[in-house]
Amino acid sequence: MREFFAEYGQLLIDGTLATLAMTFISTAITYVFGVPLGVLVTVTAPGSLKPHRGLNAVLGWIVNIGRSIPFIILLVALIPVTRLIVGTSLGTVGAIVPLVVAATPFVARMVESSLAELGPGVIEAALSYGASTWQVIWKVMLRESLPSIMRGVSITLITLVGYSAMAGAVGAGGLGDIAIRYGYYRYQDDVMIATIVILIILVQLIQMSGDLAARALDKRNR
Amino acid sequence: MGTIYDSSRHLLSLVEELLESREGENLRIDVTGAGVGIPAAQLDAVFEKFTQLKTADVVTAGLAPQESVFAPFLALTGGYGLQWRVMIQLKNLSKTYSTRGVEHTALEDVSLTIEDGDIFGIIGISGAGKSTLVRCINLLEKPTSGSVVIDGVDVTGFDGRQLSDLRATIGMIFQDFNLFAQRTVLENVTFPLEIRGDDRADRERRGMELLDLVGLSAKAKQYPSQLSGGQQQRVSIARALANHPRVILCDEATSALDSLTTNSVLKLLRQINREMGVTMVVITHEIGVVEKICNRVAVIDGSRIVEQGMAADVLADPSAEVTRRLLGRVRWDA
Ligand SMILES: Nc1ncnc2c1ncn2[C@@H]1O[C@H](COP(=O)(O)OP(=O)(O)O)[C@@H](O)[C@H]1O
Ligand SMILES: [Mg+2]
Repeated sequence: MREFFAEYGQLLIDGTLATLAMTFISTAITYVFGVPLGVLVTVTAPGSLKPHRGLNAVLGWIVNIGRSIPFIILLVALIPVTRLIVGTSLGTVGAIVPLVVAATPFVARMVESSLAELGPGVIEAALSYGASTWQVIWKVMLRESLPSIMRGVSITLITLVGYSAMAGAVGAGGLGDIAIRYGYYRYQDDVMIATIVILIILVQLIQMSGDLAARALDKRNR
Repeated sequence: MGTIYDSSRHLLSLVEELLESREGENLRIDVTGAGVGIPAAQLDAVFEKFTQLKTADVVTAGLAPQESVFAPFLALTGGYGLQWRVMIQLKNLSKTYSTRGVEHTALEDVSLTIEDGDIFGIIGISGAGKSTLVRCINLLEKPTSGSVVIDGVDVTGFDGRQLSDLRATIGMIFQDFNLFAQRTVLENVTFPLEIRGDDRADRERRGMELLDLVGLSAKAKQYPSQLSGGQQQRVSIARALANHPRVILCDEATSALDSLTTNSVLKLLRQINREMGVTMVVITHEIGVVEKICNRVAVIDGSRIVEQGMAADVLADPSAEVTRRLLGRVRWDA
């Protein structure tokens, strides 16, 4: 055991940090794009704040197409784009572009469904007091949905932990990379099992802290 | 016989003016529709002025007799008319929804006049068009045709900033309260001020004042989910008052409450109407609500107004079939 950690400890720590960096940075960037997209899809829907049939249909299509392309294909197909944007398609930095592209439509849909939970009543109340469209979006829709959106964040983080492991296979580094190199190519089961255990712990921790955060934020049912 | 249009809030100065200009003449004062909009603090002064109008005839046709603050003056005689300012006027309002090509008429040629300081009831069965009607008043719903006049201004075409400013002067309360679950009680009450850009200290002062009024200042830091239904509706009443509205629209405000809580909320609404002179439009399907607080009432059925008048008269002698049904004068299984 001690021997194992002496030999692979640093490798696993570095891998874990790389996975965490990829996951958290991609999630943050994904929300920068995903939230406005989700809001836009919601408010342009028929009967909503700013109905716009055309825009709504186009956005819906883009989101659906984004969600239907398998990640592994996106990963390879986006290599040239990634090089163009961040200068490399390798390593942690190189993984961020495909991770963001893959997760944005997914987050947009989750934000959309969080906003849909709200129901028309409070929006109508806000409008009846003279709130503008922007005020309704900021002060009512997003603010009232924050706990629900927060739950989506942990789902996204966990999904991206999995995706980043996949990205590891094409040179992104992190735990996925270690699992492939040591576990698959060199038949070192102990290293592979160690990476899996770390991944399980990461997922559990993210889920637990996400639930705690959402519960702390949510002012209902107390 | 002359006519003066003004707000019931200005009753006192009008009476003073009358006394001066018509000294020695025989006066007849028609206070139809008034009496519910006079601030309590002014009542004594008004009484006093009226006692000086020895020769006047004060007609209180607009009030249920037991509600009339002018009852002592009924016996006086004279010949001068006084009318109240119109707050809301709906002219030939129609609303047609079209969902996937299928047209549905929710309002058909509705005309109503609601006086300043009145408590005006709109009663009808479910689906009659009540909510559509009240939502046309603050233009949450755009009428298909006809016009909405608020305090003398045709607002039908308002949009953008103009519409926001208009809505800010019209409070609204709902059957399901529609409080913001993630905001404290105080933040809920001050929401209308927050969106107007008032600074925090000012709006919190006003918020606490209003929570005091509705008897919930102890709950300021709690969240709506920690309150009972009646308390939640009180919070939403305080929220509706935040902007010093001219009008409060109540869409089935007591329909989700038990009968005791209903009574206390109705009493609060009546108190607000009397003390602040706020005009109230009360939508309901319960005849009891009309009986208890409404001065005038319109009955809506199948998208049309089928009868209207003084609440006491309509309840005593209903002319429309649906009114008799709502009153329980028709056997329920007939
Ligand atoms: N947004 C809408 N689209 C289509 N039909 C509607 C809409 N809102 C209301 N209606 C219809 O208009 C009629 C009147 O509704 P409403 O004003 O809510 O009645 P009430 O409040 O008296 O129960 C109903 O038949 C209802 O189905
Ligand atoms: Mg209704």
